[in-house]
Amino acid sequence: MAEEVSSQMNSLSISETNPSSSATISLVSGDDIVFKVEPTIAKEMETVQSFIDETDGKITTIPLPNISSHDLPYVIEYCEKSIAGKITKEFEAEFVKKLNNEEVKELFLAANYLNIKKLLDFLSQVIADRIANKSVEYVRRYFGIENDFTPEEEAKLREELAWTFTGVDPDDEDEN
Amino acid sequence: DFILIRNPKHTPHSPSPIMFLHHSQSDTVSAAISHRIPSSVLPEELVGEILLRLPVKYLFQFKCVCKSWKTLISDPQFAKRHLRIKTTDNQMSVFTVLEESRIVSYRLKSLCENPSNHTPVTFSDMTNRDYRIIGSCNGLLCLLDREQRVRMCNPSIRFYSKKSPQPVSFSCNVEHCGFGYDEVNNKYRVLLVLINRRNNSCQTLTKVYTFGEDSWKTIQNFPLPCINPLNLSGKSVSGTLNWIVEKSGVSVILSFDLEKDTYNEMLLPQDDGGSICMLYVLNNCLGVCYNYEYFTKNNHWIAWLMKDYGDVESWTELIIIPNFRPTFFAVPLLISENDVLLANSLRPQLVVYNLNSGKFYHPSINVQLGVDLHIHRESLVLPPC
Repeated sequence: MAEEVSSQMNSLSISETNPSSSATISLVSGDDIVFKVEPTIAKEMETVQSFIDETDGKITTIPLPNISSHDLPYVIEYCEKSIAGKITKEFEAEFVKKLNNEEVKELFLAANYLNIKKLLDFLSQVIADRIANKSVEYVRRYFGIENDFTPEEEAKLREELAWTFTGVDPDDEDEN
Repeated sequence: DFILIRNPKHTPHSPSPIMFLHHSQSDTVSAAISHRIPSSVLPEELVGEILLRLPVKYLFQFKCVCKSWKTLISDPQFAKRHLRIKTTDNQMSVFTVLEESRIVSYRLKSLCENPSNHTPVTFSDMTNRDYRIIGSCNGLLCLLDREQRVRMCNPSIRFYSKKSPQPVSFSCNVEHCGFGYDEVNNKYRVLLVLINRRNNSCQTLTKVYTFGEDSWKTIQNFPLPCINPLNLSGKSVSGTLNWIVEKSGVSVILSFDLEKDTYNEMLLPQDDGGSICMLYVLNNCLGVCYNYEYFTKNNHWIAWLMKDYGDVESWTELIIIPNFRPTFFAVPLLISENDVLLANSLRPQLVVYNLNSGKFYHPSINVQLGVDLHIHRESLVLPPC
């Protein structure tokens, strides 16, 4: 049986015109944890909302197989802040401080899967900031990319671009 | 052709994982789990979104990651998308020329956060050339030397145009100039108003050069005289160049359309009332600021912005600073992410003014800057020329 976890919610702006929309939505993470959220939160997640709309609001339990119970609370927290109009630079800085690079990547995929434009844009910038100044090898590992240059090609390219390779950080990240 | 490992179940911006509910609603959760796939690899569209937000230097480094990244980062369309992403303070600098041959820059972030010693970063030493910068647009700088040769460069990617074409072979002076982008034809163009004083006669010639076409075209001269002697470079915005000119004793904006080679006039938001009014560009909008001198009653400084270029109804008061103490003269260069205004104030040359607190300082710079200070946003743009 699925374990139920109620998220901390702000009971904000529940639609009064459509009573059925005030029923709680259950989001089921890939590892089978149920998160109950207000319909306003679901609205922020375009993927979830379009499903609710398609079924005329009859189905309120939505499995999110690609999202873990580790990531989902972050997504919900961000959506809550977004609805409250409280996405500030300070909040965003605090929000990502706790996340390592792998976790940011997982959350970024979750935001894409749920189609939350604001979160996706924000996390794109976070990842960009975190990989800037990292070595080419680190970036390959982080994105799961195989180097398809021959050693000669790569050496030549690095020589041409030598002026950009100053002050690269050493690869000492915990996630490696 | 992209070599990233694709996640077969994961289509960005598609609700497919939920659509599958329709077929097996009775057993949704367990079916969903059985379809769960590892999600540690980012699909190519998402990788592109991240790369767009990287500074130019790192994008150049990451050309070494793999062939498809090299192709993507070198793509002119990618360069255009990169320009459209909201800039951060880190990508902005002020460019000028020192000692008539050294092109240097100061990082915006450092100027706005630190009052003390600022050392310029030298982009290039061009001895015997006497270049000045006449415009900055999409990460490109347009340079003009004493013999009226023009050149274009992109300092972020260390690019220089090879040619340095000259409009006329006889000696003359440049009265006005401007550099901008014609988006319709994807062309960078430079306009020079040349004055040839010989044998007690004074001949004016207006020439436009289109980079990539390698041709000078003679166009109609300015229909009205420019009034501001400091306002030599036309301000480039929305495919136009703009100057302040005088028409029947009133200051108006003269605008040159870089696509159609035509002139237009536009009204300023208010009468100059004895002030010095100067044009500037902020966030791709044309602005005008009014500098009132100390000895006048109107001891304040006002900056307007035309939100919608060409629509005089869209003039909006952007900043009013009563008793503007740092200096009576200031032309906005940029407003930072933290609401700090960086302005060109001639003497001393720069002022950093916090719009929230009203605190200000003059960044200490050890050298004499020229009048021509240009805000530069780094870019990947590599134009034909």
